[in-house]
Amino acid sequence: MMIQAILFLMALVILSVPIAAVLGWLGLFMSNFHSFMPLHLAIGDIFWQNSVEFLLVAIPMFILMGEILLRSGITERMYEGMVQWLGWLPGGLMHSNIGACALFAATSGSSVATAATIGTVALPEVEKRHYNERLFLGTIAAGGTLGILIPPSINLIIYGLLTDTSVPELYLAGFIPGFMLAGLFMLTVAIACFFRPEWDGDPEPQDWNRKIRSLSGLLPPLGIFLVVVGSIYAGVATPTEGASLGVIASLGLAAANRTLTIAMLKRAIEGTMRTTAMIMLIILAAIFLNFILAAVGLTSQLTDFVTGLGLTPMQTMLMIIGFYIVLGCFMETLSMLLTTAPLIAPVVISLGFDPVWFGVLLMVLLETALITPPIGINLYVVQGIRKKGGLNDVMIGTLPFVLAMFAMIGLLLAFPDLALWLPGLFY
Amino acid sequence: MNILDKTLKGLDGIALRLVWLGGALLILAALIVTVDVILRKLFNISMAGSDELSGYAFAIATSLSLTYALLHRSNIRVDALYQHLPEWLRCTLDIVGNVLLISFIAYVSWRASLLLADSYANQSRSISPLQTLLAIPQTAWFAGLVLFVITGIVMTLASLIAFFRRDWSAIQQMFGIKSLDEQIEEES
Repeated sequence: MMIQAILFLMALVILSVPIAAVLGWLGLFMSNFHSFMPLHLAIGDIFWQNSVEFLLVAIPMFILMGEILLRSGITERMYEGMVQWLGWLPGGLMHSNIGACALFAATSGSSVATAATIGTVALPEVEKRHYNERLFLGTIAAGGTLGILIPPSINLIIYGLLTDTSVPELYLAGFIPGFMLAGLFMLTVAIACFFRPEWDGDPEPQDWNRKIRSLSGLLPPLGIFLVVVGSIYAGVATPTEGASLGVIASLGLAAANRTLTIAMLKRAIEGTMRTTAMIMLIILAAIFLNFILAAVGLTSQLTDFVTGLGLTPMQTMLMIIGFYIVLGCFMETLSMLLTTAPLIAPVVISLGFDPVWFGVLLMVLLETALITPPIGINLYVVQGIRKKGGLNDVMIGTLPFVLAMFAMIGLLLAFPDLALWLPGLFY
Repeated sequence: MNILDKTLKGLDGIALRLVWLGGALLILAALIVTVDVILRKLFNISMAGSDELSGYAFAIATSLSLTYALLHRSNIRVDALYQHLPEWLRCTLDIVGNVLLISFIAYVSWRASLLLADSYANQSRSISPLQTLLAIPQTAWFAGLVLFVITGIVMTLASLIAFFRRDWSAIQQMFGIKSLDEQIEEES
């Protein structure tokens, strides 16, 4: 039954059937052939119940917030702020790229939008200021992945829903590793520029007046981040409520910037609803499949199989990590999360690992998937904006950051408290 | 321009307006939830039901937007193998994939119609202070699913006709996986 299911899944995925249809048909197939009861008849109820699920409302809200911020004209000034405050480090603007990506990704949640937006603003600086192009491209591609882990992350909500894990707890757990990873990226740049000073660009002149003035571009997105994440951490708001506050705050920010128009709102809504409809279809199908797989006993069969291998929990974990790294070379992150989490999370939990910790680890693995060739969407996005040279430049420039991600995975394995300490204070 | 293309164009117009409607519902929901949070924290006044109402807004907005996502090729598909295939095979996969998607949603819609019929027959209400008549949000939600299936059937017919005419570009335009430039264009 297990092998049959996995083959069915793999065949349809590789034939580029829409992921929602793959998950849905696999659910119907398993229910029809392996269940004593016609479980699939409940599909109408399952779809309706989860369509009105309050936790999931956070997803369109976060997407809408990002779409509004994207169109509110804050990017250029935010980048300028980052240049002023981070540009003095060895590696100059490459740190600004990472900082801007981290902040933008934290508020927008889309890695494609992040890499595209920051890339458009930053790329002209490569030639103007004589940076090593490859490493510079790498900072944008890698920086764009940070939004998956740094709260408020949509992927963490989906993981929380599929594995019955508390989302605020996951958000707290993602905080330290998320910013640590940004720090590791910056450390990578600094080390590279220490050994190869010629990779660094022309230094940014230090001017405290400009620094202070540039804060007006930096504080608004930071403020929104604090409103959303702060209200969730402080226990004032649930993730969905925090996201709603963020939507209203970003509308206010756009109004203050005089970019809030009906035409702009229409574009933001079109982008939001297209993404939401597509993600929700997959999520609903995944929840249905999750229900069927648990009911026909496939989930426990897989768990028994893995425990029967006689490996230690750590060996199994390393195997799972290897599996995700390989899979990440070929699959897009959201499909990867939704097709694997319902099967693998129960195995991991039965081995005695903390579901919150695994959620954070999984997010780092998903981030790695965004920049590992041949299929790494951020590589293509950065290359797509650059429109010259070869994809190889981006891949090579990103490689050091892939190593930084591996280091982060190692740190999480060695010190689980990096993820678990902060939630432990609150729960 | 044949009748199918005209129908699709008309459906696209409807879908776009439904998306705006859905987005307006979501912004309204965000506003209600925000007011609720502020009243609760600052004035200790609880406004029951903002979570329930935003849930309905979300369900309706999502299902009303499904058609737009379908018409604009937004479904996530894995293209690791796809991009190396010859055109006619890609088009075949496009059609097969979309038939599988549409038939799945058609099945969901059928089960949803039974749920809706139950809600009407029993006049079911939500177990909450609002006691919402469930048939009301469910009807709007169901309508979104039906529009999706109808659009999908029209698209399938149009794509089959194009297939027998060997008009690959028409199929790619309707169903094909988006190229990167198109994706960047959309997201920024």
